[in-house]
Amino acid sequence: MINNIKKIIDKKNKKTGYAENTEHLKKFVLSEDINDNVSRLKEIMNNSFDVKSREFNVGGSNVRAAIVYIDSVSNEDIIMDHIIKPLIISYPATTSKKLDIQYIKDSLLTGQSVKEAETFDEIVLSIMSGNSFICIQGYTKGLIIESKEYRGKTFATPTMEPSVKGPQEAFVEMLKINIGMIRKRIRDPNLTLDMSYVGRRIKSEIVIVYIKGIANDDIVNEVKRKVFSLDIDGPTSVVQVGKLIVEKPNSIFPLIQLTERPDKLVSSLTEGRVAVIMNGSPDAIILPVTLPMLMQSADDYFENWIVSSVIRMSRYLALFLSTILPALYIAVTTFNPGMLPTNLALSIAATRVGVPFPAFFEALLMVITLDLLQEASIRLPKIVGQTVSIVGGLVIGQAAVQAAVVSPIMVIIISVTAVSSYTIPNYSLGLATRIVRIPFMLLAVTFGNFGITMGMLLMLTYLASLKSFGVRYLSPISPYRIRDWKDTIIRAPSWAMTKRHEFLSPEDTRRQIIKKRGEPNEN
Amino acid sequence: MKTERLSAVQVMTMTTSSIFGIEIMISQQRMVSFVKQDAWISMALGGIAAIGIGLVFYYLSTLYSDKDLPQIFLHVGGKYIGRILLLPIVVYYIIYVGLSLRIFAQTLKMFLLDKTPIYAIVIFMLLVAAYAVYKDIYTIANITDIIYPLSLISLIAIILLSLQQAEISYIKPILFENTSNVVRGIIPALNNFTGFGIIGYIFCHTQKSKETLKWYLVGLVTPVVLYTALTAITIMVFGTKDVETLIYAILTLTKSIEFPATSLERLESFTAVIWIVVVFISVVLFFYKSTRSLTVFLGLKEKHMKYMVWVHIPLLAFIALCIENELKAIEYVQTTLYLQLIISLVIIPVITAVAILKRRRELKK
Repeated sequence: MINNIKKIIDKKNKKTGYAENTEHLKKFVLSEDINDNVSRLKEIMNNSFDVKSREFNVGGSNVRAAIVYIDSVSNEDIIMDHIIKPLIISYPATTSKKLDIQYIKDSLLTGQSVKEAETFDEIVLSIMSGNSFICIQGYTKGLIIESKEYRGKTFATPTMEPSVKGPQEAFVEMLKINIGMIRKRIRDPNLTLDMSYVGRRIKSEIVIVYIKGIANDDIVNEVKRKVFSLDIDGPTSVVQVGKLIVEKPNSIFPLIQLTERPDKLVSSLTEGRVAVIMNGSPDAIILPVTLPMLMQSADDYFENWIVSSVIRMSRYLALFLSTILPALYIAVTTFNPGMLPTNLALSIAATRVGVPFPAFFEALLMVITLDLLQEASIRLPKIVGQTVSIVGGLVIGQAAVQAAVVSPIMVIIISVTAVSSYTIPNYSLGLATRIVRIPFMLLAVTFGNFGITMGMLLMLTYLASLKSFGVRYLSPISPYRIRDWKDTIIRAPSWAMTKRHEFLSPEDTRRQIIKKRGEPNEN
Repeated sequence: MKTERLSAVQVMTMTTSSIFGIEIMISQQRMVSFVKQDAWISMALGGIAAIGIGLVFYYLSTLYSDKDLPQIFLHVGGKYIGRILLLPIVVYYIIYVGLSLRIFAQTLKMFLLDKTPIYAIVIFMLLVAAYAVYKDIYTIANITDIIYPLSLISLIAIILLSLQQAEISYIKPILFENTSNVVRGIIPALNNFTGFGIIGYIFCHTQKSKETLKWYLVGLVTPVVLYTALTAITIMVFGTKDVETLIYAILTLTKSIEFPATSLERLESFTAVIWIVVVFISVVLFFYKSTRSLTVFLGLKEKHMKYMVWVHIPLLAFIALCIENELKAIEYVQTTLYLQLIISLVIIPVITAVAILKRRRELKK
């Protein structure tokens, strides 16, 4: 049998250079000889130095057993205290060559979970995940004992989605801790976590999280189908998974919502959405996503609803300005100065005296400089980043105006554009506005306001055609779902939001029952 | 995943948006020249007639709720007669889209883009509209949903802001020795509401509910009320003699509005921008109808409709660009009225009657 396995692996290696995954090991079972098993396992894992094994006699018997694990991902204290020690010390003395496996499993091993295994695919995958494998001489079944070591930071604060009020906790790279963050917030037995290993080589542990009875089954099944059927080497981040499962992967507008905030994820789950988390990734993706969802911030729900609504509306204005303000300036100054009141038009004309470039090149120069500065400030270490900001501010601001390269009004336009783009809560959406800004400027210089309007209509058509897991991207603004408007451009008071979003087709539509405002609910 | 359907409210937004089109700008001059100070009454009566015809379209669509209008034509009339009856519809929609584009481009050139060539405006608009049609009817419905409030609010705002200059005496005497003109004015007034036929193309994509008819009626009544009000207010602000000389009476009306805020002293520029959007969605809906009709007429499969969209463009561009000037285009739009009358008053009732009989026979079987 071992020879057979060897042949299969060799054949595979010849074809692709190396074994692609553990699937082909499914049909091979353990041998009764532990040495064969250990050497085979090591061979499958290419005799890597961190693959450890140890042979020993079980208790007072003469029966040999072997343990195999990877020390870099396993907890050696667990292995020693909960696996090897009980087996050597506590197994009762016997002269029999047969051991009571059930007794070992139920009464000796004190590890978190113990399960039997007989095929190599399962064993290899478990060892690589940090578990330990025990095989006993004369048995064709082994035991997999959980002994994972969780290394890495256990606490983080949100950096991409900061909030003034509310929880300051963010996901970390460890799946178990992330799940814990979700579990401690949702104590509902319907919270469902479906885990699978995805990727041919990396075999990432990917978990699909949803609340059964709230999330629409069609959406859940679609997410599961797409995520679990991914046939790739392996995602290194959950963002990669998201990019691969969306309907339009080329869309510059984000079709997945990335979050690092457990509170945000929990709130989305209670809305009936589905989340995907991955071991090693400090983010989660939430599906389906719509444009209004990307414009929401955690702070919206910690403030008074009137304040939140006004802030949210200002964000929509910012989205509009960050997309087309430079284009609008070009159109108005180049094509349609008549649109402006006479005094304002004269004032703008006066500031442009002496500027050698037409408005388009002036704007293009400034937009490119702004993009470069933004990129530089992200890539550079924080201390140098501040210097870049100062240099950039001075160069763009004072020096460029004094040198008459750009007009002061252009500096204002670009500043407002930049500030507007920073107010967009979703980073990817902010990047999308950066991308569409220049085509809008080109349309403005070619067709003026007509070009901008047509550009807006083109973008609107594109956005209206986008779907995220069957949900239209512009929902609930379009198609109209008036009941859902309570949490879109405005944020209605909590007592008014008694139902979940209709456009997500939740199984359970009622969010809360409030009989009288300000009074506790009797039910 | 659930099959996507249009909601009853979307039927309303699409119907109203389909009716709002180039007529908003050009209908007043034509109506006032014909009926004088009572033009608004003819407009209202024409609107009521349009609602009646619209209901016939609705009834026909409900007879075969899984088919759109061109498919019903072929199902009821058969391969050959069905196609013969469908031909005027295909021709009408193609000509209408072409003419709309030309009038739109010409107006835009006059108000916003004096140096841009007409062909550039026409082709640009056509390409963007084609992109919308290339997507699907649900995308078009979603765009309509966004644009609908914009067009509605802007038209209501124009009416309300113009009230301060309105002179009620301009529409007096009401119906004084002018009744026959008012009645005769119903026919040209009907031309302003050609968009009612959209129901024949969208009903098969809707969620079947009792609400659909209600919202369809709201969609029909809204433009009738607004067109009537716009016609009345235009006469009340300028008087009949002035309106007869104004090709784009509504744009002139917006120019005349004295807005209290200085930052909006050029209100007509903003109105022109909103008008671009309003005409765009109307063109998209007619473009869709035209493409759909042509696809069925040529016996092409559903999946080939996407290619038909692009094939259409040169034809529509040719119609839009081969006309000498905008006055000719407006004249041709008025001429298409006869074709529309044949469709609405002859072809549709005939097809409906045959469909009723055929349906009964099918149900008996």
